[in-house]
Amino acid sequence: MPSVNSTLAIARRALLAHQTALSTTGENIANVNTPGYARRRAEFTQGPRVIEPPGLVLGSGSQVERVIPVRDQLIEAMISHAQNERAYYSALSESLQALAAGLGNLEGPNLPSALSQFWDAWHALARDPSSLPARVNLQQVAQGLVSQFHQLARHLNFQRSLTNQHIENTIKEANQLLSRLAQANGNLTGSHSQVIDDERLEMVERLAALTGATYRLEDNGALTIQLGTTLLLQGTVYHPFNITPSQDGNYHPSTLTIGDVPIPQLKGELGGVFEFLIQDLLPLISHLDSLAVRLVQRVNALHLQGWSLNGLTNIPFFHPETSGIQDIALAEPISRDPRLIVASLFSDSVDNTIALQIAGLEEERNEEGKSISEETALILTAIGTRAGEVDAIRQSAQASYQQIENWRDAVSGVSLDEELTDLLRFENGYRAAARLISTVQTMMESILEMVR
Amino acid sequence: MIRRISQQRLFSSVAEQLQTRLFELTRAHEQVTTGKVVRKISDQPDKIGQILTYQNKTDRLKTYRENLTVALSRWEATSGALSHLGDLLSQIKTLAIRGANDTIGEMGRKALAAEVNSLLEEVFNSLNQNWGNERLFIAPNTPSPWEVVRSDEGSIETLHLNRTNNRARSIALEGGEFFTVGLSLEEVALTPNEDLWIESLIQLKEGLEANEGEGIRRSLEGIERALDHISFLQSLTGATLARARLIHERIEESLTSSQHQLSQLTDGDILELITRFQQEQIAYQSALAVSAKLLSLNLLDMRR
Repeated sequence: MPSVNSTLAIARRALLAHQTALSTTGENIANVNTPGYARRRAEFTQGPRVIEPPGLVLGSGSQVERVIPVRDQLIEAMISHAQNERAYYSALSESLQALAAGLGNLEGPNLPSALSQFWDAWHALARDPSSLPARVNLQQVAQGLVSQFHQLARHLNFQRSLTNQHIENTIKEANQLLSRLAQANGNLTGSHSQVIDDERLEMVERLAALTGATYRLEDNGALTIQLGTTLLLQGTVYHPFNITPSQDGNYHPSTLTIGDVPIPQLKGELGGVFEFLIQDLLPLISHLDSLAVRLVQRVNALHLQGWSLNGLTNIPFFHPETSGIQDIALAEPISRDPRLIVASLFSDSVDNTIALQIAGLEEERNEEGKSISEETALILTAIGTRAGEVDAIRQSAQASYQQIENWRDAVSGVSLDEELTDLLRFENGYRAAARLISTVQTMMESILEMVR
Repeated sequence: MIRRISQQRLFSSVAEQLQTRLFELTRAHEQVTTGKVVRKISDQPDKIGQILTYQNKTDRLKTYRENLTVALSRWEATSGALSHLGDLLSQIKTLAIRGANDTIGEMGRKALAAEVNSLLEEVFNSLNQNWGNERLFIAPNTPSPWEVVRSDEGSIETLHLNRTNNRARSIALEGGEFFTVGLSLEEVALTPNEDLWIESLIQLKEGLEANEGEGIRRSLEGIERALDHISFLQSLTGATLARARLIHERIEESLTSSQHQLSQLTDGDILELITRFQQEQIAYQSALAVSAKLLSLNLLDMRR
């Protein structure tokens, strides 16, 4: 037969359990806006059973056995992968959009229109080969073209330094995360469940987004992290990312290692930034450089053959030692004196042969069948198209991430309405347990009354 | 199955929807105010290739049109100058026929010589007339293509045309075609046999002054050849002008078509743009109103 005291103990346990549950609900409400927070759930269990002879089995009340963050392991694994994809395409797409945005407006000054004006100015000189105003105009237009190339060079160099900076910062952040995760592994004490805590989960997810690393929770609660088959973290030992700039001052994937091991395939934000650098930015700079060199060589080859207004020959139009868009410039004599611009093939004639031939370079095709203007348009189109394609993939990766994030949120997120319902539920439970104590107290008083 | 909606999801979803609507509204506003649907290379990447191609084509056609306009203008001036030269030569020929008649007498021939001299000067001036800041019949100004010897009275005694590499010019047209612009001085002043026909006029003047019937008759043959040469050049100029006008028309048509295509790609239909702007405005207002209602609701407020 249970004693009055045992009933009191049941009531006390119920009070404590509901107090814990209320405090868990309170914590959930308090963390309603904390990013990465997974709602906690107080797990109520029955207290130990008490067997009273003959054959009477009684409970000892309820208790909160543990408070656990609500997470779905499958969703967590999916989100890690989706985050990696999203970070890869976001980094690539943002870089491409920034690159495309700096290539100029269609209505404002841009390279194709500057080139078009350049050819037009040569046509104008061909129409009036003895004209000084046509030469002054050509000199100014050519200067405008050179400025357009320089502006483009500044934009591309800025993008290049931004990208290199991005790579540096990403690697720095990834190494800091690895170090903190190693430290967290070392700080683990006692027994651990198969549930990863919020702070470590946030760090490891960030690392996955940065590098595409994957993780595994060991039985002792420690995290083991890998990139492909290469180990990044095991226990308290981690292998940081190392990178050194190559000879051209840029970072290349080949110079990125984990410890001493080269990385076969990069993913995540770092992968996206490297792809932009290697597949888009550096080839674009190289294309434009060779385009500028082609323009300089072809114009100079014709210009050197002709005679200027003041009877001089063998004058280059552009600086002959041009190596690309950064250092393209008018030849010093041409920028000083527009009369030195050549239009005629003969010294004793006012023919327009050279001016016409240079104007005709607009339609001259290279071995790939492309004119300088077509190649320029093609380069810009390629960047625009690629930016559009990658943005479409980014949107799809974002949508897929968002979908999984919604699933996770549906499982782990804090709903205020739900918490308030729980609050009422636990409050009622607490109140009932308190009522039980007061009932036991009345019982005790009745018993005591009997002995008075 | 009912999916749980967390507070963060609710707020971020509302914020996301508002941002999307505001972005679309701003874009619609930009399109209405500029009238363009594509302004930046990054706006509609799939169309950029076509836009740049049409822009390039339009620019080139404008250049070719300008080339041809200048060519037309020069050929028209050339046609006028040749017509004037033809008139002068006809007048000189009439004088030569009158002078060739021995009944006219020495005094009459001297009077005709003065008239021929005046016309000769006019022919010489016509050959050297300017068009803009250069010669109409293409030749360098310095050094002068002519070596002229004048008498004490200032009349032309001998003329020599210096042969140089001088030639007529061309301008570029679509598809790598070229179009000749104007005539060089050599082409006008020399007959196909490389004779300097203006010398016949000097010969006529000298014949009239010297009262030499034979010399006058010989010069008449030269004047006939000069007239033939000028009338050949006139027909050549006429045919070239007709061709230039046709090409000009063709370029205008291509240009209009190219500009139309470009406009189709970059310009927006203003009615459509305004309608879209209004739709976006309504959508944004609705999103704001619904969001404000949704976010103000809470179970806590219902608890009494």
